[in-house]
Amino acid sequence: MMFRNIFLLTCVLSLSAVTANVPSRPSPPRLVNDYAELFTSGQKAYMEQMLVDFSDSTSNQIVVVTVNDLDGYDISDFAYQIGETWGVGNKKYNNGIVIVLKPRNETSGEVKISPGYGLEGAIPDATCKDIIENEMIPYLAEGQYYEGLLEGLSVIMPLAAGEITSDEYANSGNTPWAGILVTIFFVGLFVFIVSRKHPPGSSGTKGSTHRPFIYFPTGGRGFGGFGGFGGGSFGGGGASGKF
Amino acid sequence: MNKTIWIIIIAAVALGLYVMAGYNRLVKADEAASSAWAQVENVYQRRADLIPNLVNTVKGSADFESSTLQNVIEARAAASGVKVDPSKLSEGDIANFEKAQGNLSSALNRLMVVVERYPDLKSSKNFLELQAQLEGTENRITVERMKFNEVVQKYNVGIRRFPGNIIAGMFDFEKKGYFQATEGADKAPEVSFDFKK
Repeated sequence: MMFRNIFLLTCVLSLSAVTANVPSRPSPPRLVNDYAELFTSGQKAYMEQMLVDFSDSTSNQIVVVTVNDLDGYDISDFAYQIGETWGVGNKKYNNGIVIVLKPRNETSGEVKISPGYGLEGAIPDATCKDIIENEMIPYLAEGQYYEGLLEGLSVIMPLAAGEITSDEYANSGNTPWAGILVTIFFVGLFVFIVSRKHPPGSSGTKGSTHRPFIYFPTGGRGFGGFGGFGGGSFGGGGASGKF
Repeated sequence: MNKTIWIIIIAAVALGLYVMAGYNRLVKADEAASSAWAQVENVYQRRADLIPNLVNTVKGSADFESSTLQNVIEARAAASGVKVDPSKLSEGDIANFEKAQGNLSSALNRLMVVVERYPDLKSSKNFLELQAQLEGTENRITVERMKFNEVVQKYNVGIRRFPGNIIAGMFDFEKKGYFQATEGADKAPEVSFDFKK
């Protein structure tokens, strides 16, 4: 009996030792978790609001985590642990996405896109790889982490929302049209979201929809509107890259 | 007199309910293990499905060592031949399954090492895509194995701990097998070689 207790205790201790290194779920919950301090507070707020709006309108939750050190984790495992322990995405559709970025420091930089079970079809592994190599790494390698993430998100979001398919993305290749179309979609989505947040009449200014990009959430309205994680589950899919 | 009969009846009913609840708990744990197993088979199947495509892509690169390819094809066939009874998930079955899949993993790993010598193949779009898919699938396999082990552990603890052990004995619940902790053999095709573990 004694031995069994000691054995169980050891198990519990070793388990907690393994999980101790992944950051625990932020409280209050937020989608942009810049532990590596790569962004300005304005950038953080902008990205957070963008992702909160995206979550509100499509229910897909995208979490961005930056860390200086993966604590010996393989980045895929790290992203998986975050997705699973935080419960990114909702429980029914498992529609979360975790993006982990480790900047280049003493060791090389790494980035991982990890979709939850429910989005594995919309964003297959090969597509994740393409997004990382084609959209993100050109910026990340220059140390432009914020830009790299935004570029990646500008493809991931329409893919997750089902507005473009992974084939369409793959076939669009490197022609500038792809970027233009995606940008148009992205801007359109943003205008749509913002206009829904400010229905004409409620805020008084009818023409407010034409200025989404000077919409800063620091005014207090709507910020912190993220309702919390939904218990989504992850299967380890996605892709990673180094730079 | 009447009173004692009532007490006995109530005790019997309470005991019955207690056993039933325990039994239901075990059934639930058993179900959880089966569905976790289904996921494990899914991801291994996913890997098996990638292989014909991989083999064809590699074959296209003319003088590729045929023995390496042959090993992969044979290991795949052998792995698909291993059947596990999902209602039992016995230790022997799981060990056989793990062994066969481990062989396939090492065959794939060797293939990936050999591919390093063919720069054209290595940088072809087709191959890169397959590589990304294979990498993702290996990660999925790791995750589903881990989830399976967690669920089975709950079940195994459930049938060994009092009073579950009595109920398990009454209704013939048997211990299920685990995957061995991620050892080299099965964690093999870390295709990009940049994983640190």
